[in-house]
Amino acid sequence: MTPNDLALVGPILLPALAALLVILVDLLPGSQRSSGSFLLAVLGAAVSLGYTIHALMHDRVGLAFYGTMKIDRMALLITLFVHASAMLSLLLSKVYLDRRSDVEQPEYHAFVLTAACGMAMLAGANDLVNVFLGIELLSIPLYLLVAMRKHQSRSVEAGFKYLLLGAFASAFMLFGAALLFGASGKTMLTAIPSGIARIGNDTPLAAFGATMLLVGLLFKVAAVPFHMWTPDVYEGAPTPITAFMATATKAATFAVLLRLAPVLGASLGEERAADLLGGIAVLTMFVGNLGALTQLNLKRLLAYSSISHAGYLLVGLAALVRSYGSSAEAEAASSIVYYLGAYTAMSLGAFAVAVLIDGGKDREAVSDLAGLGKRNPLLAAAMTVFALALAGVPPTAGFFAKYYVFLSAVDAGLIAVAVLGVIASVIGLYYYLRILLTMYVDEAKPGHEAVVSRDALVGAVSLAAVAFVLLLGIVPKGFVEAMALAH
Amino acid sequence: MEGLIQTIVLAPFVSVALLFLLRRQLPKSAAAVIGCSAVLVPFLCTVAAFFQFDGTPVTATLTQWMTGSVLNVPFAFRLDQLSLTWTLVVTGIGFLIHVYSVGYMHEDPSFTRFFTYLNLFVGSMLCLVLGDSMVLLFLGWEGVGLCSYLLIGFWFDEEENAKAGQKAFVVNRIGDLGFLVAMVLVFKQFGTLNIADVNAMAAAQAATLDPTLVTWIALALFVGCCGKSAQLPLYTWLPDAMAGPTPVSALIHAATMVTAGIYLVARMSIFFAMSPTASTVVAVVGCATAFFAATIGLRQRDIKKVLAYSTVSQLGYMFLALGIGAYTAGVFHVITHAFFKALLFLGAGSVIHALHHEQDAMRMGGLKKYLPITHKTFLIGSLALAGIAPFAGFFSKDKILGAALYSHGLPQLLGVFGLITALLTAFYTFRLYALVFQGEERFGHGTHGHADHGAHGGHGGGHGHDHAKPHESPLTMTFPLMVLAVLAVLGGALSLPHFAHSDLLGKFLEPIFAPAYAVLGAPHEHTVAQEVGAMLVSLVLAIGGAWFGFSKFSEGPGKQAEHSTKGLPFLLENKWFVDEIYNVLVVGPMRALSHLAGFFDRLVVDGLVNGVAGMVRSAGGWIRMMQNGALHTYALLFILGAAYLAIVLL
Repeated sequence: MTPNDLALVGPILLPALAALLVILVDLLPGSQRSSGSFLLAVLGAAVSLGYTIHALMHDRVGLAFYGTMKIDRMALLITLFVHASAMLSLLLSKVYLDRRSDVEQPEYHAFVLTAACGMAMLAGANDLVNVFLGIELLSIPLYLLVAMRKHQSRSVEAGFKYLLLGAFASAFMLFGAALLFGASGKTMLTAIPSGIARIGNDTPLAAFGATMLLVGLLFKVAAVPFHMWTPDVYEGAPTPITAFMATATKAATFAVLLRLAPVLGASLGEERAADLLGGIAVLTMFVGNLGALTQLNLKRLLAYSSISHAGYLLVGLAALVRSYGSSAEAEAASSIVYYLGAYTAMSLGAFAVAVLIDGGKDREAVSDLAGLGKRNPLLAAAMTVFALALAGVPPTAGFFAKYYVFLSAVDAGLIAVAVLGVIASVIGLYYYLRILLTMYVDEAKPGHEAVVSRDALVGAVSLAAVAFVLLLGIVPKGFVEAMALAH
Repeated sequence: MEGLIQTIVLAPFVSVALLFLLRRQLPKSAAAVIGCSAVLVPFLCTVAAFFQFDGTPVTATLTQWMTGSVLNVPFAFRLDQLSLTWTLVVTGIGFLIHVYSVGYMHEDPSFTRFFTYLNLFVGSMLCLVLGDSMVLLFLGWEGVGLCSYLLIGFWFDEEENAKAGQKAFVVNRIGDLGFLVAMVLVFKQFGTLNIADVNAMAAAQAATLDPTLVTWIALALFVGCCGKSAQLPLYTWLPDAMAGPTPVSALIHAATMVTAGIYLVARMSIFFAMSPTASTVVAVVGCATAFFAATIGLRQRDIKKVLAYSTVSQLGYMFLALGIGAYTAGVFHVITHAFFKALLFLGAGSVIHALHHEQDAMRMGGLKKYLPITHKTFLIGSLALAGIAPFAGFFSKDKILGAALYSHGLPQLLGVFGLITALLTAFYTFRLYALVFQGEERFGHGTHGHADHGAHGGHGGGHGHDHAKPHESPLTMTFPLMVLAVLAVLGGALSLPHFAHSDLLGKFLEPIFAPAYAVLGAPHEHTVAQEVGAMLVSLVLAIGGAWFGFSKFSEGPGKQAEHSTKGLPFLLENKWFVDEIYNVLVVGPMRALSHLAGFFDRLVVDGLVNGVAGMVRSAGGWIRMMQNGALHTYALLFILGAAYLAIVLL
């Protein structure tokens, strides 16, 4: 371990340090514990974010810890999304928690930072061991965070489900990792393909190992058929945590999937791996979009929407695996990173609106948005942007995200997947438009007007997200170029 | 230079954002300052760019936009002679009209919203004019259309206006379809949508290009132009569009937006030059529109409707010029028309303002006493529109007529019709002038607010309708009138007849139309005698028409005060019943068809769609059923999924 190693993994260490500080401050006597821990946590997330941006701008990239961590631009970009999401979720939590008394705030804040640390680690992991460490480091705090409202049966049930199924998925992953190691003699991701080639591919060992590892990761990104936990957990968890899970976990896990693409190709065969992923992608897009159609609860609706977005991202992954080693590879990889950035912004934004209208009384029905267009046009306008972006309507980031992903699928020859993806997004249009209709056309039932909290911080957060979503959509070129360097 | 171009394009949009976000906080005065400077700044930048311009086109790229292996469209704006000319007109006149609007709209509760739309319009128009690709041009094209509907329906609580907005919307869709078809054809043939590249390629391949394809591209473009620039048979929306506030009529429906069609033809002139068929269509449609609209203008009672039909008619002249290859003359007429028509509309606005939203010219008269500035400037505008020397309209109209008359075959015949139209134009212009400003006062008694256009009365409220005497408008309104009057007097100097050896505009625009003239052959040089001859003929006709119109109506409307019930006057007054014919021929059958289709819909399509929707919904329900909350179901599915993957692999 050299000082350079430490500098490289700064974006991973900083949130961990901040988490420790938060816990230490919690031990101090005094009545200002919750606001103190909040400020400290936000500061920690902001410093981590700033460090990541700094590293990105100065190209602080390289291998650390004997190559088991690979901090490249892709890792830094995804870490950037993770830390931004962590910081915004913390800000949202302030509004959410201040209206509730059943949550221990210092632990809450420390857990968010710990999870962010795990996600950042996952983004840079280049070794099976580190992948597993990262996954666990992000999962365990999340299990706790989901169940943080310990007097709410919904919340506890969600946490418990997540824990059990998560443990299940971890078991799969661990088995898969062991099999892959057996098939290749390596644990370093970049070395596994050559290892498999050296030992020979006449046993299904590598294929099984890769698939089991994949199953574990697909569970984390809520791909069908490993998605069943998602609606229940997203609904039961405190809304800011839902926002954090939906965006940051997805981003970090996709970082691993991006790095695993050559492993999948080597162990399953590129064509077969792409077909497998394409099939899962199609299934995920349809189940997500169809499932959302009938939802009355906004958080559940966004949960299904999040599933469908995992599907679109998997289209990009299938294209990446298919085109690995060809000229289209970089395009596919950058389309995924672009998608993650866009999705982080628009999904966080939508959840932020959900937090603002909930009024401390768990008002989470879609119908609670009724009349928002009249009472709070600015918030309604923001939600309009997010819903249109999630639906993929130009000129928002969501449109170009889908466009690039589908384009890379077409370039990789996965035409059927791209066509089915377009059909799925058309189905998806319906429920996003329903959100808009509810806001602008429906009248709120008397006495049921949502109490919109006017919080300057959250307002600024939503505004920034709106700006980002639009900016990414209106001038995608610069961002795509930034992402293109990612791989 | 590039910074200037970027400022020109961005300034209006920045203002739109400001006005929208701060619409509650901003006082009217601040909104007015922001709104006006958002057009003044681009105007000053354009003037600066004009003086820096050295003849080579400059492209400024704001940022990349769509990128991909097939289609690359950056947000790039190109300043060349043609776009520079148009930008000067749009921002210059746009600024004057913004200033005017400050006075005209000062009592409107939606003052800030009005300026937001107006700035959005200017921004879109600049995007249309400066965009270096057909995609950006189309973006601007749709943008100005959108602003036009928004502003026509600005007082949207009035049904009349909302309907007019809808009509404009529907008619323009037909035009847009043409534009889109042209775009697809161009892209298919040339593989790019960058206008300069397309033009260069078309000019280079002039000999080898399939003439049918060129004709189709040109005609499809022209369909788009017919919609936007209100040519036969798609002109009906423009007179109705006068339901919007008068400054809007001046800016959008007279000076700038409606000339977008001329701009497009001028921009893509190479295609029209290569296709004699398309050019002939343009010339014939233009000439027919000019004549037809002028006849309707003869008997209109509403001051804005007269001006609206005259706009349609003058746009027809411009297309006539483009169709016979007199491109510079067409552009020249765009400029002078922008000066005097904006002037006339703003003058009409000043009259309407003074008379508390009375628009019926039969109820005016004698206003020269009360509105001295409006009167003088309106007179100058009328002289220019009638084509009387030495006012601006004379020179530009004479250029077009001269080019038509001294050619051979069909264009010559069109030129004769053009001459007759010039006579009609002079007549109805001075009929209107006499009815409004001369004779005895006919306002202030009888029922107030004519059924057709008392519409805005409610919004002009606060004037106090008991004031018997109309009074001159405030300086914010008269100042633009005076500036425009000066321009309407001097505008002709931009392009004097050949014998004066001072064709500034023609020289300036030469590089733009050089490729087209390379195909067509150099424009015919007229002898001094020919030019003077044409001038004399058109001048005699104009003066004759003007004198006739003036003397007949200077005492009052006479018989025309009553609605006529038979014969030609009846037809003219009712606009040849075109709207009614459209209703019977197009709208009626469409309704019937839609009833039939509705029946079919209910019977078959609905069944099918409901079936599909039912399927989709029940699939949704099915997914929901699986989601029963029981942990073991989830785990089971997890295992099944993993097992399935394993089976697939083996």
